[in-house]
Amino acid sequence: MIGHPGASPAHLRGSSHLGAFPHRSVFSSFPLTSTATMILLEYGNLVLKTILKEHFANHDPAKPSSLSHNFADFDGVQFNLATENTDRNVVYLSISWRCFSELASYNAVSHLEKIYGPLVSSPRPGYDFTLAFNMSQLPASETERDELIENLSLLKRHALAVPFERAFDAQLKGDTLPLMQISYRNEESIWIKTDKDRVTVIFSVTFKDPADIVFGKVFLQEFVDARRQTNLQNSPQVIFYPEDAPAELTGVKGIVTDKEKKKSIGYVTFVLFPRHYDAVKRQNTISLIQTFRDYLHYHIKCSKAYMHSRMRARVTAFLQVLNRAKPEVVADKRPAAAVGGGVRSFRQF
Amino acid sequence: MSHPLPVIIDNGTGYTKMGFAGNHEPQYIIPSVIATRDSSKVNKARKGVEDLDFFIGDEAIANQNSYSLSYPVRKGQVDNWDHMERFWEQAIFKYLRCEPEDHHFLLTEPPLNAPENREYTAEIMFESFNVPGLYIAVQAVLALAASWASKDDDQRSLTGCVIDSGDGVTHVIPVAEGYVIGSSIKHIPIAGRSITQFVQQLLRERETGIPPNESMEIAKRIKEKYSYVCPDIVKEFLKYDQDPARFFTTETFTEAITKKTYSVDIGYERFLGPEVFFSPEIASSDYLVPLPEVVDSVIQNSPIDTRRGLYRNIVLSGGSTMFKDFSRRLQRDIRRTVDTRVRLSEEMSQGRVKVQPIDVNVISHRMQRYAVWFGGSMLASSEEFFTVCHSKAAYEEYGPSIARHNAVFGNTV
Amino acid sequence: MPAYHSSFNAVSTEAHCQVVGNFPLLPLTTSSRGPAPSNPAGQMDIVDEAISIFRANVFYRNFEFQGNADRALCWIILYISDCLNIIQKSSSKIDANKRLLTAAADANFAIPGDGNFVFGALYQKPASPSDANLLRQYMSQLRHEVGTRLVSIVYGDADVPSKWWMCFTRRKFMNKSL
Repeated sequence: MIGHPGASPAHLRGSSHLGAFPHRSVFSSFPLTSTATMILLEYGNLVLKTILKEHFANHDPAKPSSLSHNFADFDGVQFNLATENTDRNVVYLSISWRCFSELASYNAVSHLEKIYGPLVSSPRPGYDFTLAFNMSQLPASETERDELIENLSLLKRHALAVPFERAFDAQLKGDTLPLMQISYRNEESIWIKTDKDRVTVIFSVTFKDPADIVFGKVFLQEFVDARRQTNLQNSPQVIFYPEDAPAELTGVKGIVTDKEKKKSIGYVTFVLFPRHYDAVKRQNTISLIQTFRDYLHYHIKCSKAYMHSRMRARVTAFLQVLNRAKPEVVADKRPAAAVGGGVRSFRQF
Repeated sequence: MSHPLPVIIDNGTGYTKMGFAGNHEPQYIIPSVIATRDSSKVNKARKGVEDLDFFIGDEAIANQNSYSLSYPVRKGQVDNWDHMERFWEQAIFKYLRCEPEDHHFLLTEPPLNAPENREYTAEIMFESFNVPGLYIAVQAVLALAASWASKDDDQRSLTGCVIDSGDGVTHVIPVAEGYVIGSSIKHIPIAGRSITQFVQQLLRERETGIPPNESMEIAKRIKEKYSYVCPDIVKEFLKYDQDPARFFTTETFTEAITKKTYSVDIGYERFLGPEVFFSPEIASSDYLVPLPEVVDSVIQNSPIDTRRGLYRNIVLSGGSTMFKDFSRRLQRDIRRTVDTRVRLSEEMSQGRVKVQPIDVNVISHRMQRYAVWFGGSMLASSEEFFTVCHSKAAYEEYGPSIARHNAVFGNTV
Repeated sequence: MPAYHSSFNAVSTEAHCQVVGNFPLLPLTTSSRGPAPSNPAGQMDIVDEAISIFRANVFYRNFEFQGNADRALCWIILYISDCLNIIQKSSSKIDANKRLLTAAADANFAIPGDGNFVFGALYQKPASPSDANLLRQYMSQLRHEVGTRLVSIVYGDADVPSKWWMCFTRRKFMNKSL
């Protein structure tokens, strides 16, 4: 079902993510606009928020209820939210992530300690990092509780922010750091390179489906082109390298060189200058850039869903034409019961 | 962890239950509803992203003034694939927050679902979302598996009669060794909503202080909080006469808009509500067959060699089977019918036939409310699940038709 | 479960008691004068039974007569509904008592065989005018008993009727009323 990319102009919205850099930073402390929430993925984990909100609301100090949930987040993150029977007041939030040891080597733990303070606890068995909080010491006001929940839901974001913070800090001081690699997914990594005047972030992006390669390339090309618009000139430079890794990654281990395998891989480079990570914009930049890969894949999937619905509409229209050609002797027959109540799919025939 | 957590999505007519395998409860229970915009009313600022301008679940209901609501699942089956695809899109990325390329998916289907629907599901899952593996399970079979939680290993069986009662309809579905006996399934129009309406009617005949626009909600809350099944209604009335303090209660509610409080006395509706399952006549003039009789006739209509197994394992599923002592009464009434039949046949044979006693068991367990989802969660956390899933590679090789058949499994769980 | 039946069905045949048409003259605990045989002290009679079954049966629309006592039961249940409606219109317990006694004393009600009798031909016409008269007297006794017992049950010690009884006024057993 490889579609003609031109069939879906609505989906060439690569610019939204990128374009958001200069614009969004202006109101970074405000909630996302409704259009932005439609386009961007949230940074916090909604499962966690939903469970905790309900748990807090129903909390009965005399009879604390137990919790036990396993859930995932993007990029192979797995969370566990649980209480122990010895003291149900204590809630443990644990995260496991394949790249956590790398993040730890960039001082992730002390960075997270700065954010979560006394909540940091020793990691539970099978997990990389654990936060614990006591239900009997919950903040009293609703707003403070919501802040706590929000903050907990951003655990993954804060962990992945560490190498970015480190690179930005170093660059602003004029230091250069060795290339940092974060193998955050099984087959994909982020590299952060700190130079004298800039920080370069490189994503490797793989596609599992031949159709996605086409979509992906169109999207990524769009990122490059979008920057030519006058209002987006200040956004970071984006360079897209299909198949072959950019020069920054020469000599890095594990770069795919096999001719066939290379076809489903691309590299995207963001070149960030201090104006992109000044005190005001920094947090937002980190959040946006972290979610880049999932954002890309989300929109590829939405585009396909959109095309499917166009294809179904087309099939329905064709069927109407065909039905008009039928001779009218069917009056005495009952129409064949349409499966599932007149379901139309794009593979109707 | 060799595999990321599989995702279980149970799309029901009223509610969608979704979450990750291995949990006891779904992470989300949201209305199966989508709010979309009419294309004529597209906001200029959203040009180019119209197809993302929609909401699902509670958010859809909250936005119903500026969007139009539609229900992609009708009578258990997917009715609008465009809406279903977008519903899943948001469910996966926004609610569950997972990359579908990484997780295996277990979806559910009603009994007698058309194989074409499985193909459409597979198309969407494999082509839009690139899932690595997909399994489509029959809801009733999952409900049977869920009841294993309350049993010893050697009693785990995929033969049983599932009574699945949600809000709109109650289904009685016989399953033999993991396969639904389609010809004997029965549906009855008595379920949660009919009980709520009956409770509402009883309250209206007695209580005066309930604001009309809240009476449905009050009836629902009273039903959920106070209802139980009694063995005999005449005797139950007498219990209330003898010990009023124990049975009658009063609850205070606050009116949503005016914030005025009002109190409601709660009495006979506590047992009369669920009685509707056992004596439908008291609430309805067009449906008269009690649930125990329906169950008995479903089993009697099933192949003779499955009947004992079906009587032995009558499994409950869904919120409307949660009333206290529901299983006890159901078991008693079915057993009565069965015993009468056995006695009759023995009498007719004039002592020449001695029938081996028939074991009637109605199974009630902790995971009953979301039994279908829980059954899915349990099966998908076994290693075997990954071997019975249809893989993306197989889909690409053979096409959507592979999803027509989903192997029965679970005997090794 | 179907509607509740009378436990007196077995003892409501000619072998056990007098039957007019197919309406049994079952024993009654009563102080009013009439043809009713007296009920052994301390035992439930048909009126007690009808009052206790009333709240359940009033929800049912269908009923299958399984014996003569069922006919008495159904007719009493409909009369209970009548009484509740009278109580609803009354201003006090004393007023209700008075109204119900007046209603019971009114001998001008339909009995089986009358054209306007609620169950029509399901109840047989008494064989002779004297039988009809006997039945009318017996049924008057039933009405008297229902009225008096109901007032004490529905009011208890209060001066307003219990809402837990008045809630059944709008229900009609078998969709019928006397």
